[in-house]
Formats: sequence, structure tokens, C-alpha cells
Amino acid sequence: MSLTAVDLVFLAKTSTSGEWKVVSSVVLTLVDEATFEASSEGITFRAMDPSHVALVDLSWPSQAFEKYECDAPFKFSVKMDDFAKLIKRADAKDSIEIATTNNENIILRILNGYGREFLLHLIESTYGSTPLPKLTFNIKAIIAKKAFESMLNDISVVSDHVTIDTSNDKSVFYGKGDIGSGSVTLERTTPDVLELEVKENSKATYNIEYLSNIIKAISSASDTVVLEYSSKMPIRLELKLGDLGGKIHFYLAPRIEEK
Amino acid sequence: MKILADFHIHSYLSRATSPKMNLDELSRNAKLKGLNLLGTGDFTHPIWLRELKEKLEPLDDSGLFSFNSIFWILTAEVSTVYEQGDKIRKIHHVIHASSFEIVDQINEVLSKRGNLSSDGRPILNGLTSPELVEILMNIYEGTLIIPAHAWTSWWGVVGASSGFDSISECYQDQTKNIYAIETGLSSDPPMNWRLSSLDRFCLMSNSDAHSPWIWRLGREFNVFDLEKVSYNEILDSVKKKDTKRFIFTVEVPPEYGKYHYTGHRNCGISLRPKDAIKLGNICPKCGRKLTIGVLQRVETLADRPEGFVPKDAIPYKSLLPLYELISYVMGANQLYSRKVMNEQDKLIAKFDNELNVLLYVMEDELLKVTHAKIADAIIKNREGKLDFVAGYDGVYGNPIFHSFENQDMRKKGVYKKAKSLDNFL
Repeated sequence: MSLTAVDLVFLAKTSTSGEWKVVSSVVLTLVDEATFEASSEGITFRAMDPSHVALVDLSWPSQAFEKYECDAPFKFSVKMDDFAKLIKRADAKDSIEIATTNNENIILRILNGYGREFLLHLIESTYGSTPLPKLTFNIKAIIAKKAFESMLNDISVVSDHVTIDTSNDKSVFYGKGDIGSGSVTLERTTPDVLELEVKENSKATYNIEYLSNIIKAISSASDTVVLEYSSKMPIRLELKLGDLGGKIHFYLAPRIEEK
Repeated sequence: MKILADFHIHSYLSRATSPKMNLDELSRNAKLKGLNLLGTGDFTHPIWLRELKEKLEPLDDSGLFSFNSIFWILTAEVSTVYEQGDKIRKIHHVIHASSFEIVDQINEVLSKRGNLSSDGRPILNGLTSPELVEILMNIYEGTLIIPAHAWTSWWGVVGASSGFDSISECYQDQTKNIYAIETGLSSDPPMNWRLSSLDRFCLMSNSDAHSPWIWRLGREFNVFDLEKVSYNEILDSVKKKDTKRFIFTVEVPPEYGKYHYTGHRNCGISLRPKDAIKLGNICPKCGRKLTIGVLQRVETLADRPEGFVPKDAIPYKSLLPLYELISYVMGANQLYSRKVMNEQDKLIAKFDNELNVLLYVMEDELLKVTHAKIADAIIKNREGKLDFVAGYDGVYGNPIFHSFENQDMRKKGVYKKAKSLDNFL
């Protein structure tokens, strides 16, 4: 039986596989099953991890795709393991096309000279919509992703958690564990700090593992990280998905400082 | 007949127990769980004993009783507190008796050593463990005495704080009358198999439930396959460690137990044995002594490597209760969640009882009733494939259903609590 689409209701094509690889890696760090929402405006995804400590909010506008068609809003739920395995079959330069004609399957085509076509069964999802945390941020810093990643790696040697203490002229990242402590200071004037807005000095502690996983998942898709937080409040990282308006917001709850 | 037995529970007359620990609620929940034999607990308490005598129907000469279609065995837990070797010893023992006549005699003697009305688990000050056993043996030699939750730091016979280094050091000449130990939530049979000194003891598992809900009652239990269901059959299979009759125990994963790792609850410090030893068992945050976990205590006393299996070992199955499993999968933070309860009830209504769901129902059948993630967790639970953040110093451990909280995260053993994003919605 041919897998060629008829009565097309949805088609999204990217010119390379990188964006889908990032999306599947990011989502996979959070949940095993994912429900994507597609509309004429693009694809969105939002979910919390089972412990409700982290949340990913993906917004991928239609103009970011090489080709995008969506006749009517619909949701498609996939097992992320399976989805990611198929996406991984694509080389960096392959384009990826995802299409569906019904609510039961999606057709995933990997195109580069010759075409590969997979049909993936959709799953039923019982999980409802996820609201976004209501937050105002006193700190906004745009930092080179490489510097942020390096800082996380440094602090993770001594601790599972990083405390971020930002004042007018600098952000200090520090951690303390059984073996000792460590700190990384990024001054406002450091080339890796592209922007630093401070409404109020702020300090909060977050789990490094969550931050590292999301940074690893984003891979080379984004050169910078927009980091926003307030004292003892969740942190929000904004990461670019391509150059055409795709964005991933990652929220992480703070850790409680126990006295 | 298969007997699924939780011998060690408490009534509403014990301290810090649910007012619902009565015979009606207990038998109702035992059926939901899939158990068919319960220990009465607390037979030393006069009010509870009166209720037991009024309601339990003796089953001929079996030494067992019946109420609400559940078998009952007369049991109680007592606490002996005494000094030995310049150290205060606090040891809990579970007593099993085969008739009310024997129970009356036991209570008569024990009432002279402690106030039996004060607590369903009375404290017997100054009575040593061997003296207790001797008293009980003199009343009836078929009385089964088991050191309760043997590894618990306080109250366990080989616990780190007030226990001994061996069963025989505790019970001395009366060790000959001890046939089994209760492994407790924080240890499982493989941990106990590492001590050759425990080889002669049968390893039993009970819930020590303080509330009747099925995530407490029967969270650990014993499974027998008996031709004749009687007290003596159970006693004999325990005494002989007969794997044909005492066929397996069900255990919660030991990491789930509240005292698995060494740690300090107030400081949120949880450590693997070797990390704790490196720190001299001192809390790196406040400088006070850490509460030594069961894993560390086992390491200290073990004379065999990890993975050793004695040849006559009674098999075991490792299972987390269904409610807790669903709760973690759904990310419910509170102890009681209506959503979790509904999901649990739906599964139990379909498959008769919790143990069927946890042990026997095929995945495709589960998928017809529940969410794929929950079905997957049930299968992983059954296959012993759950990973845990280990419990410590009174804090329950919890399973990890997510790749974030992986092995690396456990390496350091130090945890701070994460707030939930729900707090900011």
C-alpha cells in the first residue's frame, strides 16, 4: 500500500533535519509521550515533566518551515522514543517532511535525492493542557551558550545545584557540595555576556542536571541563551530554534534552600 | 491453598495509627489488596483484645480465625528496652499466638513488666530479649517470635543505634527459639543474604501498617502454599524455611524504605555508605551525627559480597504499591490525590485486586484500562526495573521515571528539595 498522502490535512517540511532533531531531543528530556499542536500558524508543544519541576514551551511558526500547510487545527501524539529514532535516521543535510491525512498516523519523509518514508502510529494522549507559570523576571541576561554550558560543567564538578546571584554588574554562579565549592563569575563587561538587565538583585538555586540536559539537547541550534529569573522563582531559558522565529522556552522550578 | 499474609500491623489503639485501623476497614482493604490473612496486631491491648474476642470466629482447631472472609492470626508487637554492654537496647519483637488462651497468659505475665493499656505496642522496661522469649516459650513453645524490622536503626535487632551485631548477641541462649527475622522496608533478601550469620533464619516481610490504605497495608507480605491452612502449618514452614510451602515474599524496593541511605533529614543530606564513611558519618552541613542507613549497616556486618544467594533462600518479588506508582507517574505531589485514587480504583475494579494488577495482568490488558505510562510503570515495577532516589533518615525514597534524574544524580547523594512549578501557576 502506498503511503502517499491524499486529502492532505497537514504538512510541515524543514530544509534540514537539525530543527526536528533539536525538538525531539528537547521533548525527550521531559516526557516519554508528546502531544504536538498544529494550526495554520505553526506547531506548538507544551508539557511538564512528571515531577512538575520543568516545563518546555515550544513555538515554531509556520514561516520557519520550507513548506507548511495545515487545513485545520489538530493535535498529534507520539511516543517520543519512536519519533526520535526516526528523526535520527536523517543526516544533517536531509530535509524532513511530516504529513498526515488522518488522526491515526503521521508520515515522515526523509528527503535527499532519494526519498525514505515512514508511517508512525499516533497514540492517544489523556493529558490535558499545561498552563504557563505566571512570572515576572527581575533579571534578564543574554549569555553565549558556550559560556553557560561551560559554567554548568564547572559547577557540576562540586555540586548538583547551581546558585545564580546577579547584581548590577555581574552574575555569579556557584555551587557547594561534599568535596568543596566552586564559582564562576560573568562580569557585565565579559564578551560572553551580551546583555544584562537587572531590575533587582536576585539569587536562586536550580538543579544543574535539568539545565545541562536542556543545553545539551539544544545542541548547536542556538548560540545564545536568554536567561530570566527572580529570587527564589523559576528560571526561564529562551533558546532559538533556527533563524526564522522558532523558540523554545524552558522553565525550571527553584530548589528550596534548607536551613 | 495460597495464603498471602501480612502478619505485622497495628490497631487504632497503637500510637500514631489511623482511627480506621479496625477489623472492618482492615478486612475491606485486605481484599482490595489481594491478601487473605492478616495479623491482628496489638493483642496485648485490653480494648483491642476484647474486640478481637467478640468478632473473630475461631476456625476449628487451626489456630487461625475468620472475619469478613479474611483469615486472622493473633499477633502483637512489643518493645523491650534494657541495658546491655553499656548501651541502651531498644528491640521490637512480633509475637504470633495460636489461641486466645495463650494470649491471655502472655498478657498476664507481660502486664507485670509494662503498662499494656498505654499503647498497642507496649514498652517492657527492663525486660531483656532473651527473658521475653523464655517467658513466651514457657507459656507455649509453639509461639512464634520474630525480631521486627530487624535493620531499623532504632528498634531493630541489628540496627545501628540500639541494636546488636548479630541475632545471637541479642537473644543469647534463646536464639534457638528464634526462627525468622522481619527484614523491614529498608532491606530486602539480597541484602540479608550477605550475612552468613542470618542463614539459619527465615526472612519474613510485613507492612507494619499504621493505616489501612492499600499503599500501606500489605506493602510487604508473605506468600505460602499450604495444604491445610493452620497456624502450625505456617509455623512449621517458617521453622523449616520450606520453600515448597513458604513460596516467596513481596518486598518494596529497599531504596523506597525510609532508612536505606545514611543521612540527615533536617539538612536534606543523603549519602551512600562509602560517602558517609568518608565524611566520618558526620553531617557535612550541620556537623551532627548522621543517621546510619540500613545499607551502610549491612555493609558493616556483611561477610559476603553483593549478589550472593544462599542455596535454601526463599524467593522474593520486589513491588512498589500501585497507588505510589501511579502517584509518581502522574507527578502528584500530595500524599492523597483524588486523581491518583481514581486511577488506582479503576484498575482494581477491573482486575479484582491490587496484586493482580501489579503481578499478573498482561500489559495489553492494562492498556485497555489505564494510560500507557502507568501500564509501562506497572510492568517496569513487576520486572524490578525501577530506579530510585533512596530514602534516608525517615524520608521515603521515590522512584525516578525520568531520564533527568539518572545514576549520575545519585552519585553525589546530596539532595535539596525542588519546588514544583505548580506553585507558580
